[in-house]
Amino acid sequence: MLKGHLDAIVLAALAGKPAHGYAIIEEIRRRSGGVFNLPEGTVYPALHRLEKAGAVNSDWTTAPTGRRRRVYTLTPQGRASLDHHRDVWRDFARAIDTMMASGDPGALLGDGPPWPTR
Amino acid sequence: MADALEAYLDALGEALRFDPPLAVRVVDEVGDHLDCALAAELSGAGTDGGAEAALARVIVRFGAPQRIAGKFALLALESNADRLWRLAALTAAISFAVMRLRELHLDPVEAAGDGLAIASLALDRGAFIAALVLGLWGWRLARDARRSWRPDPRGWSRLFAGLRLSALALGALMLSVAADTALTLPRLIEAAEAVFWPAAALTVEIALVLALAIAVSRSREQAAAVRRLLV
Repeated sequence: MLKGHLDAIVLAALAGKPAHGYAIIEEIRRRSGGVFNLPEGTVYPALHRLEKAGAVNSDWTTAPTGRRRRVYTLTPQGRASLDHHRDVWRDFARAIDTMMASGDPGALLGDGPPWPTR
Repeated sequence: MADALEAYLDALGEALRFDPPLAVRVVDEVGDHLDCALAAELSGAGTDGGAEAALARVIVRFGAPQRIAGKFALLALESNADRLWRLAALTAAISFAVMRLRELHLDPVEAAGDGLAIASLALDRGAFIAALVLGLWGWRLARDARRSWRPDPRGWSRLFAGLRLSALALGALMLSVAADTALTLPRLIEAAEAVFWPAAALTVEIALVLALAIAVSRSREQAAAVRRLLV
């Protein structure tokens, strides 16, 4: 399930400020209270894909260790995409809440049992 | 410890060799990530076994080089395929425009008496149409392959069939440009004036076809390398 929402999660992590890959992963972990403990290597292909799609752009800086560091920024297109993901997620979450909150299975299945009766 | 980190990055670079500029970028980026992750691991609670064990944990958490490269491979293949088909469409459009202009500017009376001109025009047109048909057929196969090449070996077959057809289309386009050249060059040599535009059009046409030849060849090499990595 998380895999299908990876792009939205990465965009949400970048919404606050520009960040490099490791900081994005840490932000996801922190904001999800440790629930989203992503396989770290999967985030970089997602960032690459989002950059190709124009949702983020990136620039090289130098890390304190002297290595090159790629810092990602959300673009206006990425922000619009994030807003869309948020709307879709709200509708989905509301529908799931409604389904789960219903205590009467009959309310989901209609009147009577789901098999032919005489 | 630094050796283990560099060995991992070397292995990642090797797995990403299907796209050298991407390999340089990813290796730099992952190197920075592993430095950060190692620093966090060493300063956190989980420092059991010392620095080498911490690095091993960081690397395991990041994932095997082949697995990471596999995730980039399909993205690289897709963006390369997009570039290839855009270049092919541009080359076909410019070749067509140049061919039409040549037909319009060729003196019909002079051309009617010139067997070489008539044959060149026919070859130019026929080869161009063949290139168009083969190119569109190849593009369609490659497009279908993109939907399924990961799980389905038939997808890979379609992709390579599409690339073979694009190579054939390129051959036909080269024949068309060779016929153009045979038609245009003697007139450029004989003409005293108004040489610039025909010469420029021919040069652009030849340059685009050569660029397309390089792109087709690279695409075939890249697709073969990605298939070796994923299948």
